[in-house]
Amino acid sequence: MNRRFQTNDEMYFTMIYGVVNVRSGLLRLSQAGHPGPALQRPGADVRILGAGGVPIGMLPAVEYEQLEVMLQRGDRLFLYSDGVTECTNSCSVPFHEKRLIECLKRCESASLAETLASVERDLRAWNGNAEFTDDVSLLALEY
Amino acid sequence: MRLEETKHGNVVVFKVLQPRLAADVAGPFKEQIVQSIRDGNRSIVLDLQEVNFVDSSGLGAIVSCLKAIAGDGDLVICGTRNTVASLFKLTRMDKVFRMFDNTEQAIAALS
Repeated sequence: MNRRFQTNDEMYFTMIYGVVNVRSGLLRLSQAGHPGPALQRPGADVRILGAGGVPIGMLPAVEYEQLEVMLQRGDRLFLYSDGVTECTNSCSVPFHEKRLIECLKRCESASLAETLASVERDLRAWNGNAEFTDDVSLLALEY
Repeated sequence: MRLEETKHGNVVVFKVLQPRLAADVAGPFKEQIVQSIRDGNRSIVLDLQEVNFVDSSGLGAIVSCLKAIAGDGDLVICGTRNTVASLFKLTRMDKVFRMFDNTEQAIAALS
């Protein structure tokens, strides 16, 4: 995909590509400049997966690493755009992964839908309920 | 676009003097540096210590400057901090570019 999207202009995009074996729970993912997914395991700290990667189309001949995680029942995986973590408040302070993680921990016992709604509320409040300046997307999976 | 250009022997230092390197200034930023490369400068330091935010256009412009050198010279980065340092790490630009803490170290490496 990186070879296919090489251009002469400055266009590129970021992505997370992942495959879950729903029987074994094996998650394989590769990261191309996109924020690392947050993995929430019941009773454990939320951790951000991945060590980064070059965005798609930015540079030719890039090798992408594959990360493997064995999911356990009840694990939740949250994928999000940088519009979430880079959303700034009136003092130009970004929302940052730490506030996302705080919200996820607070919602550990809530449903996925309630968790996403809670993140959205926190983010809108942080943004001062103004219009977002970047796209904001959040995907939640529970194994 | 507030971009300060200084020469130190054969090394040209471009220091971004504004806190945001974003879509509105990415074009002029790139044009100035690429022109310097076309003029024959092959040892370039990009000082980002005053920058606290780089968006996708800004990052694309920085990479374009690297491509303009096309392996015939060096374009190195110094002074990244906080969110800019995190962005470089997330996109592995900290492995693509040689990174230095400050201009003195960068100039010394290229001299």
